[in-house]
Amino acid sequence: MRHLLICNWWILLMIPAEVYAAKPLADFQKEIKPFLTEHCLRCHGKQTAEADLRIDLLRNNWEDDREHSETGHWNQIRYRLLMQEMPPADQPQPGQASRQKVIRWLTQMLRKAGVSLMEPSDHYLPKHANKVDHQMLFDGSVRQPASTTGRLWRVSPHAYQAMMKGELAKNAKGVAQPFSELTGSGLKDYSDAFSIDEATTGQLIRNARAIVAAQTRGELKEGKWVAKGYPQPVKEMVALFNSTIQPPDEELKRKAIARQFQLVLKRLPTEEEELRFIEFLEHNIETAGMITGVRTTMTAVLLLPEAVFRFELGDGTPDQHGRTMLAPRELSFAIAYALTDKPPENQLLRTAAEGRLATRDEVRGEVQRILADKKISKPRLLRFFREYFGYGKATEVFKDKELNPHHRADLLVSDTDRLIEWILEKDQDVFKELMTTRKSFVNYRKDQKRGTVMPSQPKNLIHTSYGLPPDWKWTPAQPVDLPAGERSGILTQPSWLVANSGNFDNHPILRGKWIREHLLGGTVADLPITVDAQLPEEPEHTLRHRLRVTREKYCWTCHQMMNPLGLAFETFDHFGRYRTLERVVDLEATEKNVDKRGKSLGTVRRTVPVNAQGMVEFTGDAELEMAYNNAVDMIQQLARTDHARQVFIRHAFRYFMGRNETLNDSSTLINADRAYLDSGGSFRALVTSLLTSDSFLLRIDGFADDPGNRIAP
Amino acid sequence: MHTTRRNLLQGMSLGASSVLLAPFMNRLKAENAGSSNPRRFVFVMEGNGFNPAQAQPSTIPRLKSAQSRNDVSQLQDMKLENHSLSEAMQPLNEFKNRLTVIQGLSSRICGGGHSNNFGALGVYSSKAGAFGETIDMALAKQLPSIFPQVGLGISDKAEHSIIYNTSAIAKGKKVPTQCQPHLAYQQLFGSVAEGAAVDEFHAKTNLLDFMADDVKRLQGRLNSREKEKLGDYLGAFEAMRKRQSRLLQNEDALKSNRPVPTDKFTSAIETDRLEAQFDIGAAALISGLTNVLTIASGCGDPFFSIKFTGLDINFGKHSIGHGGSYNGMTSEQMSTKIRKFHFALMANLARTLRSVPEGEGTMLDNTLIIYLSDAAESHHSRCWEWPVVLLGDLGGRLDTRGRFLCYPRYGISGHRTMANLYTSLLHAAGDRRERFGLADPKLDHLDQNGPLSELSI
Repeated sequence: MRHLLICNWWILLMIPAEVYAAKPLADFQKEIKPFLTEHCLRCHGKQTAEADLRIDLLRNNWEDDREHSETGHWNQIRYRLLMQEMPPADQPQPGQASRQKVIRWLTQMLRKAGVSLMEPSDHYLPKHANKVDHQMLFDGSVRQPASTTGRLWRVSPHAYQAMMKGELAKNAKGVAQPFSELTGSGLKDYSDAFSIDEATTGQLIRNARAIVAAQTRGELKEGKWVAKGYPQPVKEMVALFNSTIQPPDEELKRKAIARQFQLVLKRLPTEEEELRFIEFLEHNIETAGMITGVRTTMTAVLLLPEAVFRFELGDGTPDQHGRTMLAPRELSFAIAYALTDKPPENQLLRTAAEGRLATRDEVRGEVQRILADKKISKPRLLRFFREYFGYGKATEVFKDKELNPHHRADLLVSDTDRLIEWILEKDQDVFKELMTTRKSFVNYRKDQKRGTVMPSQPKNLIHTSYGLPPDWKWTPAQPVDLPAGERSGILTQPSWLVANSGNFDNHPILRGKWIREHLLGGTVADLPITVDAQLPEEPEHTLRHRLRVTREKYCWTCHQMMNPLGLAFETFDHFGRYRTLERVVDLEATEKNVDKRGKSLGTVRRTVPVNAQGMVEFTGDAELEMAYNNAVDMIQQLARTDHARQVFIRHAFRYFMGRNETLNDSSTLINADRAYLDSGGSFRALVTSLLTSDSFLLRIDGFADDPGNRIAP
Repeated sequence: MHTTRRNLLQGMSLGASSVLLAPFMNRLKAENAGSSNPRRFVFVMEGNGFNPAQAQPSTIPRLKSAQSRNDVSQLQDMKLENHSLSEAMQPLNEFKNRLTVIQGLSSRICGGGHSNNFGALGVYSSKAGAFGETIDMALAKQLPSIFPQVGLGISDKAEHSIIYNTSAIAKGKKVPTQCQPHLAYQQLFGSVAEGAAVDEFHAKTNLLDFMADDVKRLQGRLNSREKEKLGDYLGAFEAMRKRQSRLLQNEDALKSNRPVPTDKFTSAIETDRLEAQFDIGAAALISGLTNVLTIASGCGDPFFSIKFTGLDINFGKHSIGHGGSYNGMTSEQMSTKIRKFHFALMANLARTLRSVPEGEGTMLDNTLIIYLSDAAESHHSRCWEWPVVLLGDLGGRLDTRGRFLCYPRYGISGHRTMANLYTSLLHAAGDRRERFGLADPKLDHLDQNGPLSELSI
């Protein structure tokens, strides 16, 4: 094994121990040793001993290894297998099942030996999610119960943004977004990805003060608070300012505090909270005066952990597996933030407060109600597809106007948004439609208030990016059919193609990486430190030819996982326009293209036929290994597989749970897949299944103390 | 051993007492070092690479290989006074006798790419996230102040405020860069901003106490993982609370040195915002708010592809890096224009510090400004070499007055790395450790420890 470096990441394993504890140990002689002999010994045997590792000298003897010298090697082996780093990709690969069997055996043995299992320090990030065995997630062999660890989840930037624009803060001046999201492509908001540091807290404080200043805008004139501007100040706070009794009456204090709790947290303070806040208010009035004192106290409500974190700790009596259901109030927030960017609306809050959000069926009822209610905006649904496909990034890729003056990335993104919304409105065979539809919205804008449709840019020829002729007449009857055989769903929308392109050329590596990760459920290692990621400047050659430099053995280990898949999209140029011929520079003709004085008359180009053929390989699944002629062919073949659909469902799981799946989530994923299929491919049914799953509803080990002692009233 | 109050206190510089004693200890350390003058470091980082050709004095031929890499076989050590600065560095001409241009340092361990991210100042892989302490934060520990370090910058997106791109206190502990000048102003000078009153100050102190108490109550009841997550929130309130009393002590200095907010603080033009950040940074140094300032202009991936529209370049740095042309300008011309702008801001900062008396000289005498790119030598960097410009000599603690140094090419005898440069900075700050960051495994045959002896006094 190459690159078997000493690693310092000694933290708990992502795959729960219970999974393995329930299964019998594999037989070392019959199942483990043959695997090691076949896949490891050639490089780590007596002859070569790469990275100073001799597999043949390792003993299957765990009791005597008190200094953990051998278990250290076994831990490394397990880690490399888990991360799919070994065997190297240019070597014969073991099947997923046998790889998993060895990982499972090593996991059992190492844990029995009391050794902490190695994992990358960022194991909780989306990029590691595909490392959980796909087959085991869906074959029903894992029967352990699903749940999520009790957690705090920092409010998302989108939810904070919605708060900034909402009733509470829209009149406040100088409120700025304090939160960031995960950078790069892919899912953006995971519960374990963020805490709140000093800089962010500083911004939260400034925001909170600005919000309270707006809530109490005005000045004291002759002992009476005179409001300034719009809206009217919060009357319970003004009542304190206007109080003629100093210090103010207890009831006034109570009302002001209760009002702020209601506005910010959508609940009343507990008795304990009320007492503490009254004491705090009095202290503030004493040290800073009435106005500043009241404002500071109200500011504190906006900074309570409950205002900046989502609480998902669980409540009630644990079941036989130690799991407790989310408290009704926690559930109301979890459902609301899963589908919208806002806290629960009144009906959901009321349902929770009245104790009608305590069972799976009751949760299902509320989820279905919200999904069906067109008046409730659900931006989180479209955002999932934006994050999954990543086509929004098209607006960040610079394109030279001279090369295509009609290019408008924002229009392309908007058209794809609309196409996805249209597919979701039909809500049938959603995944297949996303992958295969030939329909598209083109330069399309809908006035939501009037219900009228019109071109986004009437004079723009953006429709040429969709393969429509320059004289195509815009029509309100959309979506329209794009030319037959040229397009197949979102991955052939110009927005996606531009998002995964360079400034001046296609980007087969990015495109191939997307297919590998988002349809095949595979992984690609990070760019190694010694790689200079540049292609030769050879305008006389096609991009496929220029990519030959990645076929060097060291590069090809990773590039073989991406390039063949990405080159399927060579039937499009980097603006997303369909093509069958590719233009390259004709060096000879260019050299001859000179005037009488020998001065160049410009570059001469020639066309060569596009080659977009290739193979889907290295998947470990015979169903997926296939030859294809071009992107449309490849996508349509993949879209028919159970595997690609299930990988899509895994991504939906991550998005709505805010974490990576573990093997224990198997039942949740199987149920979600079944719900999707049974409903004829309904995305709503899929979401409903996920939001009523054990993984979503149940928590384990949230509080350290008595389970009856919960934050949520 | 004879125990004095001084070495007794030094022995106590761990644990809770270190917080209270820090300023006093700092003075003692300064006295031990033979000077009571403060020391300050300013890192000016520009994203997207610093081409060695733009650093090379125009009168010193650059020896390069077929791959355009440094090909010097023996250390070049020349006086700048006999040479002309490069076109890009012209704005620094008046400081030529305080400059050192360093070429030929490598840092292959960083890996390269569009940015080396935290690795640029940490000397570790660009892919590893905040893998460990970065040099600015290591220096901040040595030179404590009200704010250990101030991170200001601009990003490719005008709406970005707090981003994490260059600095870290320790593994996994990223330190933010504030990209909005008006928010940076509030953060640093809010306590003495126009209209701020004493009662507001006291009320904020109350608020911080209350919040710390509230978070602690909840924290005590959570499992360990979530406790840790909440720990950062608690730590934030506690740190701000501690700062309150020190802000009060420095109130006069803050009031008299605070910058005047202008339209540039909220401008949509990136050159305006960067200029404002330099002004705020200078004011933070002069007010005694910090001793370590990191200004990051479009650093970190994916924050680097800024369009410098204020310089009539409506063309992203990513595209410039790929050799694109715009409005009749080549990529090289655009890059030089942008670089010049940064050096002009750096020169302005130096002038401002030079105008403030300190001891028998000026603040500039006790400051070192380090200019570099987080992406080393190019748009797709590989870190074979990493041009650096130093301005100042830190009160005579570094031999950096008017020099050009070019170290031998990668791998041969005499070759040195960024880790050696950073070790020099640490030594100058009083931290005598022998190495910083990770060693380059491909340079095992060379001694990678210690500072750059050429810079030592």
